[in-house]
Amino acid sequence: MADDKATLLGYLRQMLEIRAFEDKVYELLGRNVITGASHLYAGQEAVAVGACAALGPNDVITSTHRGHGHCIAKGGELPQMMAELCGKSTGYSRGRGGSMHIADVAKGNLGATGIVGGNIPVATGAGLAIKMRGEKRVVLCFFGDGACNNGVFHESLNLAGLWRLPVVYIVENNLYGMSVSTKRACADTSIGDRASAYAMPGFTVNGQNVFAVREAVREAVARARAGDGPTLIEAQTYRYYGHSRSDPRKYRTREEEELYRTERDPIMLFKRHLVEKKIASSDEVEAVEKAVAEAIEAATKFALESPYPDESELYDFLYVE
Amino acid sequence: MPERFYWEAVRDALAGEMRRDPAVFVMGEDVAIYGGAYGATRGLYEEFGEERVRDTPISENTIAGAATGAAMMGMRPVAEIMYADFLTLAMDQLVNTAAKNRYMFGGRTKVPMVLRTEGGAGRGIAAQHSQSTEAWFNHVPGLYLVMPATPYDAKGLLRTCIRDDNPILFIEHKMLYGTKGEVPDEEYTIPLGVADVKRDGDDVTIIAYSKMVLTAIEAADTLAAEGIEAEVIDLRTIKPLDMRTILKSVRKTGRVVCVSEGCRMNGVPSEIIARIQEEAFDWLDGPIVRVCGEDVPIPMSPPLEAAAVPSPEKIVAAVMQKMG
Amino acid sequence: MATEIILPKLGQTMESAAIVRWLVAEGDRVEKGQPILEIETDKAVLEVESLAQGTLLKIIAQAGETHEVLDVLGYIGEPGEAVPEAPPKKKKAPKPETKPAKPAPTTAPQARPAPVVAREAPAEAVPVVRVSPRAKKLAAEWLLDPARLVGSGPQGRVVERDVQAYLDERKLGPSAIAPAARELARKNGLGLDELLRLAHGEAITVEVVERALRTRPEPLSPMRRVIAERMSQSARTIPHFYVTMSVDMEPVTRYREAHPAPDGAKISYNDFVVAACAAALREMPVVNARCVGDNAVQMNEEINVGVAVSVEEGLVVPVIREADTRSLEKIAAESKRLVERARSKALRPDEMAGGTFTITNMGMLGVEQFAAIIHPDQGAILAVGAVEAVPVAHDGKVSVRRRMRMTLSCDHRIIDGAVAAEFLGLVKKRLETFTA
Repeated sequence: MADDKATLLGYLRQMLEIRAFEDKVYELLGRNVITGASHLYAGQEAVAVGACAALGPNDVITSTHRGHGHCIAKGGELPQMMAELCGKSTGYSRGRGGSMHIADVAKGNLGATGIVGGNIPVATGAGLAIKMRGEKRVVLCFFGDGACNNGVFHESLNLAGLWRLPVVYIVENNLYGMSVSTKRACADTSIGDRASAYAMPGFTVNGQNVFAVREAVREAVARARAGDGPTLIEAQTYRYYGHSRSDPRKYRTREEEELYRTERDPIMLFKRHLVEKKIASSDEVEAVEKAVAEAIEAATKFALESPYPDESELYDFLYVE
Repeated sequence: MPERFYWEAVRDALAGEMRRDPAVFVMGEDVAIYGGAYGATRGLYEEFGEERVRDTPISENTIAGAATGAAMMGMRPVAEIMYADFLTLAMDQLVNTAAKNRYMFGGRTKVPMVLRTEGGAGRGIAAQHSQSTEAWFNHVPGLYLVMPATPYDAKGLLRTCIRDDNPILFIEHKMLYGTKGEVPDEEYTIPLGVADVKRDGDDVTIIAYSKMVLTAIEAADTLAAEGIEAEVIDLRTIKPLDMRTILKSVRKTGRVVCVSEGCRMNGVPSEIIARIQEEAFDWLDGPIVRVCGEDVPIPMSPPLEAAAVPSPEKIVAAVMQKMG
Repeated sequence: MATEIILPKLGQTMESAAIVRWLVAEGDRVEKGQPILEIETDKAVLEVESLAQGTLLKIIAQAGETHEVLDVLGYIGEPGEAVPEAPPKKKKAPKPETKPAKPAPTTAPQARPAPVVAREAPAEAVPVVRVSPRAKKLAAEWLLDPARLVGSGPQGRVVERDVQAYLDERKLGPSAIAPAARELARKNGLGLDELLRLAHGEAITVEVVERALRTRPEPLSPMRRVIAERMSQSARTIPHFYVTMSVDMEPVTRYREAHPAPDGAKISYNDFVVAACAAALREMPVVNARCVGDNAVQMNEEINVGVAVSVEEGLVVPVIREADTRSLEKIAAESKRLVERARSKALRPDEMAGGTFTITNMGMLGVEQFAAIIHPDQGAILAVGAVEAVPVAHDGKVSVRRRMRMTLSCDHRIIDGAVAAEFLGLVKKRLETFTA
């Protein structure tokens, strides 16, 4: 089944948007325009884009503190995202959430969380709701290698396997929690293998390849939609930036980082695929890059010019009245 | 009017709401086949089946978290944590996700879930199964806190909580399940944020909630024999708090005793007393007094367990000695 | 235009960093994202990546220097591009418009004394009267000071029932004070007791309150207060006795008519009295002295005669210093000057200080004779009456002559009757034999 050019250029656009958004956020952090915490997804684009490409329009996702990529891949609007990171009232969460708490429940993004693994139970519950109502929807639950050692991972996967819930659990294994590598955190580093403890299939895929990710998730989504329960997918990937901006990344070598950037960069690989397979010309690729750069600038401008929420609104949206 | 046990009132509220709204379902440990550790879900499994009455594994955090996720997707889960002491295991999902998601997401979601649990001493099952932990949750913005004392209040309030769109912690008391009271069979609800004056009096205001309401009424009977008429206010909902009823009583009597089974330090009375002195200082005829649980883990041995929590005698003593 | 290389904020708490070393040199090509220098914060050594592609034109921050976040460290651009000589002022990131933070309480940085924590403060240790807020409120409504009541509450606190009992004793119900009366009384600080007294068992109306306001003691003016204090002190501490003599004032009268003051006005009778007394005081210094503490007499070297002047609110006593060294004319001029200053409230404290003897004259008011109260720091005072034409025995015949009566009040601790009589005799002789 061949993908059409528009679809593939669409993947390219999303991956470029994610990369450019994260790079711009890094710059704005350095300029102290964005304050607070921000955890950048650059390097992992193929996972978010490939996984979300496998979803239907009514499917939902849950995200993590490193969630800008998920948000964009699920159709998030760049201006509202940038405004949220800047704490402006025009942001997705009206400035109350910031980088780690963007949600667009109406569009199927049940939100990001600052608690590692915090959305695994939420995704599980969402799957429960879908199943109880007999809907043919699927939940895609993103989390990282660090979350796999948290209690809720075990509790939730057990429950989902037990109740055959339509949840696809996708572990973005970027080899490091904060500074501790999976080798030093996991008794067994094959995270995909953990699935067998919960009566669900588990797979390991190359997270740098959009197609590989998409195919694995498609299979899992089909299973879930058919009522055959959850799947655990381990996508092996890499993040370029440190855990956060103050991270000197002493726990990795520069050689390792260089290797990923020069030989395993997912965008570079995808661009090469498009051009070499003559799906698109390098001019067309450049045109997408240019459009993305403009979109990022426009989003930044929107964010910078937007107002802050007023102090008088402090208690708004706490309870449903 | 028929008389029902407190556990029956809870069960009937659940059954009534589940019949009324297919989005309502129950989940927790031993709630289905077993009917709940104290019988509060007895019979629901037989009527509604395993789809809507779900026994879960022993996974408190995910019980709370899955309820959150289901609620965000439009269901109305009533999850149960067997003992209030175990709320600690569910704390992260309850406090960091359920209570905060609506606010953090700028109002773009709501979490219409109820988390039922029970607490309190009296069964001699010691420190990890006898606490009153409500004070921790009064301190969480975004969460409501409801603690009925009578079967009538339990049924009406639980129905309201299930219909409410906010995350609500509904704490029952293990020693109340076996109490009986008049409960209508027809559907009725009790609004949140409305306290109930369970006994009128002019001389002193006793503010209590949950089992301590019964303790306070016993104390009031003893005081009446001494010529002191106590007004007993049952808060019913700790949050939202009904200050209107409290202040009206304070203005009348000028003397206040605040009772709670939770331990004294930083208990719920601390908050109530702070608000009374903020809003009605000039109406006070003396300092406000607390009668609380002692600052110890609940001991097992019967005389020690009794000494660790308030009793009618302690309330009477507080009124007599400190108020003069 | 060349692009600035700024020191980025690599961490929420980062304020500044030291430059460790540059990884590229001026003139090198750099790519976007390429690490170009190493910095050291208080937490770690970090790399700074280039945000632009181009040539490193200029390094401004040298290794070893410390810079603040957002400082310009260097420039990247195309070879030949202009580079500013001095780095521009650091651009501050736009800060949100927040209200200025409330100033921290000023006591915060100083060490506060540790609060005294008593588990149960004993009642005796507390000197203040305890009143419950409710009792305070009720008492205020009834214009009562609750601190004056006896408290029956715990620790002796005055509670509501104590206030109520006070009211019940006096059979005061809700209609005992009319609302308008209560307001008027409260505004003027009147208390319940004085109103009850004036009401005579009837309700307290606005009329009663107004009556109370009218009959309320008013505080004395400052001048009156001083006079009141001095007079009381004198009356309390000095044993007064009084000696009167009458004086033939014909010679003085004739002199007076014949020798007006330079400005044409006549020298006053009182000036003559001052001159006569001053001379007499020189001869009898004990009348110029004062008793100290009942057991010592203090003599004065100077003779400073105070002259009592009546002013609007009361009395002031300016002093003619060293009166014994002045001529009559000088005395007249000085006394006139002082009186004028007194009447225009322009007297300075030093013009009223240091008096050793006082003369008070009510002659111009028609008083024939009176006895005055000695000033607390003096030993005697002379009260002078009017100069009147009276029939008197003179040279064996009855004739009408101008006579004046003067009364000396003396401190009996230091002056006896004979001394007083002798002094008065000297003054009388001076006046009756006045020749200037």
